[in-house]
Amino acid sequence: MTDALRRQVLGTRGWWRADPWLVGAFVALAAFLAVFVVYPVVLVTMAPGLDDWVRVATTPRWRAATVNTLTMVVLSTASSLVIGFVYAFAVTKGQVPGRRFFGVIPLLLLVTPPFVGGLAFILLLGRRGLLTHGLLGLDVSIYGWHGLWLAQTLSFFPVAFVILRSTLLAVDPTLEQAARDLGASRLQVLRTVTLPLATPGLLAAALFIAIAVLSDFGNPMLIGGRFRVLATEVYTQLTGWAAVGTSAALGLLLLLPAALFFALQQHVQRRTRQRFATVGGRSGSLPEPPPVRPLRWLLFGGCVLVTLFVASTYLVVVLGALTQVWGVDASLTASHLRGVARHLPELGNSLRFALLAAALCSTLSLLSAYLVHRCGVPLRAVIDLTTLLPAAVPGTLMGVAFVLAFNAPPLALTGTGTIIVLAMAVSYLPVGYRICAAALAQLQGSLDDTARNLGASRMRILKDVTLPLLRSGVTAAFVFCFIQSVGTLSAVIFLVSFDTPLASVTILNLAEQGHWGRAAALATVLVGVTFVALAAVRGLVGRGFTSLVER
Amino acid sequence: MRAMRHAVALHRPLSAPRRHGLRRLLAVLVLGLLTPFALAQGSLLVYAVISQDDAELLSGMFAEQTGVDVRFLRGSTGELVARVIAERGAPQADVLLGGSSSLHIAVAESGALARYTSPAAAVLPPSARDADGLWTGFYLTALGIGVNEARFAQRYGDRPLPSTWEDLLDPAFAGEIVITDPVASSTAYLFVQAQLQRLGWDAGWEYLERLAPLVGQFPSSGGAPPQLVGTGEYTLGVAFVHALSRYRAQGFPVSLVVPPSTAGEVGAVSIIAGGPNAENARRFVDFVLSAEAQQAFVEQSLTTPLHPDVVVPEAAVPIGAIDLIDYDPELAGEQRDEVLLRWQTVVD
Repeated sequence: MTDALRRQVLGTRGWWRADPWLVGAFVALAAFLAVFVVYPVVLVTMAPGLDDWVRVATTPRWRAATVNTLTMVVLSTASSLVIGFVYAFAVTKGQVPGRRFFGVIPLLLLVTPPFVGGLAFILLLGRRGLLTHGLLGLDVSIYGWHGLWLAQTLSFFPVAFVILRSTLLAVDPTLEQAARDLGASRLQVLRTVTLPLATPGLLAAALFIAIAVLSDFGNPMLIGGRFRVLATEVYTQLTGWAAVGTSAALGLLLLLPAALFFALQQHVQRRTRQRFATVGGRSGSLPEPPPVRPLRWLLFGGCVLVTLFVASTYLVVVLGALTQVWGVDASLTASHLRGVARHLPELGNSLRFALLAAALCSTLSLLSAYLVHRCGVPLRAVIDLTTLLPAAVPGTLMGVAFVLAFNAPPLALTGTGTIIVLAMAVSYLPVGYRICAAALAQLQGSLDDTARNLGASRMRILKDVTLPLLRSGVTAAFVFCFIQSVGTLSAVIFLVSFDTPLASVTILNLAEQGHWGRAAALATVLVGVTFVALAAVRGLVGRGFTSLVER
Repeated sequence: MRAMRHAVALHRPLSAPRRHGLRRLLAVLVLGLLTPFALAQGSLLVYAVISQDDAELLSGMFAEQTGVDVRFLRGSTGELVARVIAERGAPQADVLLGGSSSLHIAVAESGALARYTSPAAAVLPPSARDADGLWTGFYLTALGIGVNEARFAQRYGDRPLPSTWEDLLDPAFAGEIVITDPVASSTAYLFVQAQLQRLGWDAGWEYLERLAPLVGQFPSSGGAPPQLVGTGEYTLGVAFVHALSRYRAQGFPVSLVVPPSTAGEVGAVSIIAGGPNAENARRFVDFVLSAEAQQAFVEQSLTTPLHPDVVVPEAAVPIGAIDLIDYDPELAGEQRDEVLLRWQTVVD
């Protein structure tokens, strides 16, 4: 019996079973998720005892923090989404001048270790800030919900940008073209074609920003002032008092809203997915007409504003690296930069681990998205949920879970680079998976069916049809995971060891003790090296790689 | 894309040419797995709560004297304590260096510490070391008030700097004080307990309730107040004296006030039970307690030395200039939940 015939006999539902590669991939994926996602999370849910739960429930401070957290999530998600969408629109459909350049700017924010951004924010906008005090002569306090809102928006709109950019790129321009030909106005095209087609991406972005805001502790710690959120409490209970139980209980509290958002997103997406699948990605279409002039210039102005802010953030960091003592002795020095030589092992580790993690993460994302959304494998809903689970677990809690789970045989991984790579990959798996799934949702299943009917093997379809169309999605997942991993702190702070120091952790140590010059110098070099690495990988692998940065 | 295919191969090679990628990746992963077992005999692994450069100093000196390959990992107290306790089954390090003695006691109670009474500890006052040898103190630091001179002069003219804890209660300081959050940090809990033990339970709470509305911010990290005061974000901050001294020594316009009836903590060193290099760990403890190491450490960290032969550097505060209350750490430990709950309900 030929393969094609066998597939016909087996029918559509179970066809994937006939492909040993897919079966193998499914088993491997399921095993990975069970060991590196479910197992640590289950362990951590068992960490808090009854008294921890009682303490969490009876403390008024944590009730207030819960309300604050939810308020901040709603505010920041909405604003990040709006800015992210407008920016992504400007760079993709808006055809603003210099869009290649503007497309890289949000990535700079992603690669910066979160607290470096927060520190720069204080240096710029604080009571003695370069902008507020130095330029405008104000004595205002940014500490509080308003400063935090601004900081969260600027920190997380890049996430929206990355997801929405690949979504908008995947929107078939011929559909918009058709709508225009039928006499629709630009606004109508946006409202009735582009936005609905971008719905999976918008939902995915909303979910991730919401969950990222839920679990971020860096910005609230630096800028929140007396406005407390749960994630900071999770972190400080652990780092201040080594109270694993209380910390875990508070962290598990975050799972509730996360699960709620997730269910909501799933619900809406299920209703929209079928209606809005487009035919064949964005291949072969007429060049799009640029939007009207005033709109283009408005979009351009927005991009310039964001870019200026990002640039000043970096300017502050670079200046910090070059001055003797920030705020005291402004004379220039190269000593901090020379001091970076001491931290070469950290820099090397950060890059190596982040690259491996990004490779692992984007592969898993693609596999998981493909198996769940295309192959009708058993336990689909379970795999779907499990892949997204890490997003709901605050990074520090995940770190502790990894230590608890992998400190003893059979999987004694603590102290190794492997555990760091795994933690990074698992942390960003949900975003990678969502990016891939959103891209996949826009490809109609009939393309696969057609290829299959023509006798193509499963692997051939994946290689020749699906993968090329998913290229921008997979690449986005890779780049996202890589640059987030380079800068991450929460996921790895409990996992670094003597043999595996990381640059982000060293930067935090230096900054915390007031060695800002050395911290800023190391941060500058880290960001620089990250982009060199991205460029190098692109050169090594070829053009397709950085479709996220290019185009 | 190629990098991605390598990782695909992690699960199952897709086709022949990609198997190289699989091998390379496996090699990297296996190497990563094996490194902890490949450690040389003459090495020492230190979890350091003291600052990065202080850890560099001590480990560098010890390495030079003994030829032992010292590596350290720096982290916050809670973070490293959590690690040591979590790693009890398979200890990854030999020594826990720095951090208040009360946290070393907590680690000892979990059974993660080994006993060792160093001959060099004999010169220390009995309160600075554990009778059973579970931990040994090697520096002292006390709570003080940091004042940003520039911001103070700008806002309050030439009025005198606050010199007692009571002086902080002046309503003119509203929004200008920064104190670490006791719920988040053991350092700040020391401050709260100092007031309760100094004034007595009721008067202590009254003090805290009057102070809290004046506080502009309760940051989570003990390192935040000196930073926020040093850069002029706030005028007054409560922090460890040595941390404030270090900002001052760097050139920040920070004045240092050590109010009477303050509380301090002994920073301790202890040996982790079952660590890979027990013999070197004991040598390291002897070294840290030696006059030579103490002198170098104090000169850089600006902490207050416990060793009687050590000369206090000019920028640091000598033990005689610190008026310490008779602080009861055991009481502080017992009252923790009650105090923090009341703090969260009544004060903040």
